Amino acid sequence: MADTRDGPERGAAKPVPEPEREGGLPDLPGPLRSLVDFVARIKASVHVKLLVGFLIGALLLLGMGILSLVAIERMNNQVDELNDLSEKVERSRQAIYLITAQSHFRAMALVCDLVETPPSDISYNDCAPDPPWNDRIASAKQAFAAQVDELDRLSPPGQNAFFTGVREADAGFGLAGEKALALDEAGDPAAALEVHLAEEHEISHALEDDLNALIDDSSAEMARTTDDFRSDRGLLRIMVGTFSGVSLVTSVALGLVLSLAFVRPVRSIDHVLASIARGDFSQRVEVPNRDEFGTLTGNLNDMTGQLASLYGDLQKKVDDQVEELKREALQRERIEQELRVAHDIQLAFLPKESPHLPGWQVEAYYQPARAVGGDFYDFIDFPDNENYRGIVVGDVSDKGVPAALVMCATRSMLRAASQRLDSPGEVLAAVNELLYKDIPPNMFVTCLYAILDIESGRLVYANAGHNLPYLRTDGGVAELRATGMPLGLMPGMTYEEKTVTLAPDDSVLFHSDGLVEAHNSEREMFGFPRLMGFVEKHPGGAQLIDLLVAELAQFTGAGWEQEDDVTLVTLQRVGTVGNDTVAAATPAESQGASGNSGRILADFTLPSEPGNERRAIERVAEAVRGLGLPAARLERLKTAVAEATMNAMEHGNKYRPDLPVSIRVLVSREALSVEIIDHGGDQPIPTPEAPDLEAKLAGAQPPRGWGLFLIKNMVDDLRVTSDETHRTVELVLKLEGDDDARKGL
Amino acid sequence: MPGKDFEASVRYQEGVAVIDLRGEVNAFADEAINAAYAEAVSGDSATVLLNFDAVDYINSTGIALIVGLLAMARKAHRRVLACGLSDHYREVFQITRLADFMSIFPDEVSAFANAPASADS
Repeated sequence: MADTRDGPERGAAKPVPEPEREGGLPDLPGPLRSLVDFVARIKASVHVKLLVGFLIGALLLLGMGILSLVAIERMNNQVDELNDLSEKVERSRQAIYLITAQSHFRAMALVCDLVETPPSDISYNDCAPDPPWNDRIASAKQAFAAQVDELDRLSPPGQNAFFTGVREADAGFGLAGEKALALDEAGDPAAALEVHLAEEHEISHALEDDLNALIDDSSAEMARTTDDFRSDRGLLRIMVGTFSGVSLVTSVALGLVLSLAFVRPVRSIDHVLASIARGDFSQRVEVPNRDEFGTLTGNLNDMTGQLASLYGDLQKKVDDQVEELKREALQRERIEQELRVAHDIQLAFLPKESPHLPGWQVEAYYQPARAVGGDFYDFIDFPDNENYRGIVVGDVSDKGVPAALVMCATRSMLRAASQRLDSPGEVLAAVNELLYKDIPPNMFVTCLYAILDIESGRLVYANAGHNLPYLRTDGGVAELRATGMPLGLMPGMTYEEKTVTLAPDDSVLFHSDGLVEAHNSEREMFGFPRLMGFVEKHPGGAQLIDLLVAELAQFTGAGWEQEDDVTLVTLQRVGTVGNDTVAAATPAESQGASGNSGRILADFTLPSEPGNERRAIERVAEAVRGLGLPAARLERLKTAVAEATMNAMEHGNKYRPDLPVSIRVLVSREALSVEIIDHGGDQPIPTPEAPDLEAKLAGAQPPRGWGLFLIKNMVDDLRVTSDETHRTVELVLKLEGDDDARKGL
Repeated sequence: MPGKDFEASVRYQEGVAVIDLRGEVNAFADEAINAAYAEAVSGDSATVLLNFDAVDYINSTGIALIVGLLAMARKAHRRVLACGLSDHYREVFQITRLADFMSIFPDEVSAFANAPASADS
């Protein structure tokens, strides 16, 4: 649909140029156009117009047929008349012959009777014919009378008088003949001959003359009739040709006019419909038709007008909607930006890193369900007594920005109270009083606050309704119970305070309910027993966090929408640097992937994000600082750690932020090993081979592919192990003969 | 052209295009280092000197970037020198055999003292 800003104005009918009004048809000459318009303006349906057109053509053909039939009938009559005239002439000649024959027969009979010997030019048979002359005369007389009757029948009534005269003459001719015959039979052939010559012969000539006149009249009539026939035949030809031509021209003209009268509006409608399809509603159809096409174009124009109106309304709504969406997008972007800022602010309130406490491994994991969350944890320093460290894990009873705001306030109150009060229970009570005044109704904060005596391992804690931490010792796993109401619910609350002392290798897991209350696709909850089982089987530290995060991901499955914030803090007592502590370490608990046992110098996790290998280098370098490794060896170790961590983040964890890389540094008398663990258990690591630099420089191979080669050349040993889930790369630096490192140990 | 914790700038001295590298040579340095090389070879200099004096970290991706740069230079018959590498990264350049394809000097002064300015020398 064309943009209204670029297209013609909708709603107002646009004058259509002449060629467009013709619907693409060539312009018509004036007379033809007038005729077409006249036909179009006739107030009749298309059906009637077509019927009239066909009727005109049919009438022309019918007229031609009728006139042709009349002409043919006239010609048939002329032929019949010619036949009659021809027969009349023939019969007249026969009659003349019969009259002449009677006269001659009479003469022959009288001559033969008159003389005994016939003249020399007359044979005997001529005088004695068979049948005899008188019989022949009688027969000829009868035949003559029949011919006269036929001639009378063939003649028009106007000739009746003629035939009456002929018959009277024939009667006189008969009487003369009978008289001559009577004289001859009386033996007087001479008298008979005289009578014959004087009467009978004369009458015969008179009859012959009459009949010859009849023949002349008939012949003249035949000539006239023949001329009439030829004239009518020419007329018929002209008439058929003329009617055919007129019918053809009329049919073509009617077809052209009718088709133009119908096609022009169709083309115009098609043109306007095409414009509508392009989104141009300004076109209108203007045709002179007063038939169905006129009605159709009128309806089309009405419909186009309504469409233009609807389109205008729709376009306005769309424009309004787009503007609204833009405003919403801007607002959403602003909110997201604010949420990002809030997220950054909240992260700023969380510890940048876990504290490095001598003899302790402290690790933390925090994953909010939204950009900002209600969970929090904190490590509190006491400037006047560095042997103590406060540990806070809390959960605000909501998520999102409100929870984050309450979390920030609670953290600040806790920090302030912890600096002036020594007792965790008193600290929680003081914070409860402050929060109760300001916290919104229906909101509260669960919080566990503990103070660790770093040297002795003594942990004093109080709990304001937070999930119970798990203590793992040689004797198993126990919950650290202490009663107390959540913060902000009721004023005047007191909080029970408990104390526990952690021995070397004991560990505590602080956690929020986001882990245990996570559901899988079958709505089954992760639950406390499952969590307790993992705590019991694992010594703790970063690897416990890594394990729990992986188990949570496996439990909830792909596409899980995190229901609540997840916070995990582990506190593990690993002893202090020194041979005694190393010896006391349980081999099973501090055994590297290669089987080397030793003291854990560091155990931490890193998110799989580009650039985090530098953090791995720094943490490992800090962990081995006390070993006094030669600078060159340390640099090699750092390069190897960086490359192995990059491989773990990129190839093992695919740079997924929810899959951290675990790094553990162990040391024994023989070797220093760094284990780098990712989630690529199903991905084998190829055997390190020296890259073909010439091929890379020639462009035959990609320039990358140096990581494993560098690792292998930077450390004394490289070991790779894996299970179904995890893949461990162990970097080993042998310490035998390394006096500086052994001194460090 | 700055990258994340990386910058590369070009200057010309005695007919040699000197690329001063600063920061970490890793994946983030890709755009900056290639842009610097393009600027360096836009002049008439047939020799390019990579100054690593202010570089504190090179990882395998950084090595790959240098290999790519060296490949481009070899194709254009340009000579590449390096200076200012720490002992560790000098060792890395030897292990990776990059040192076989580019002359490595302790510092810029020695590089100019020992390396001819023209490519045909």
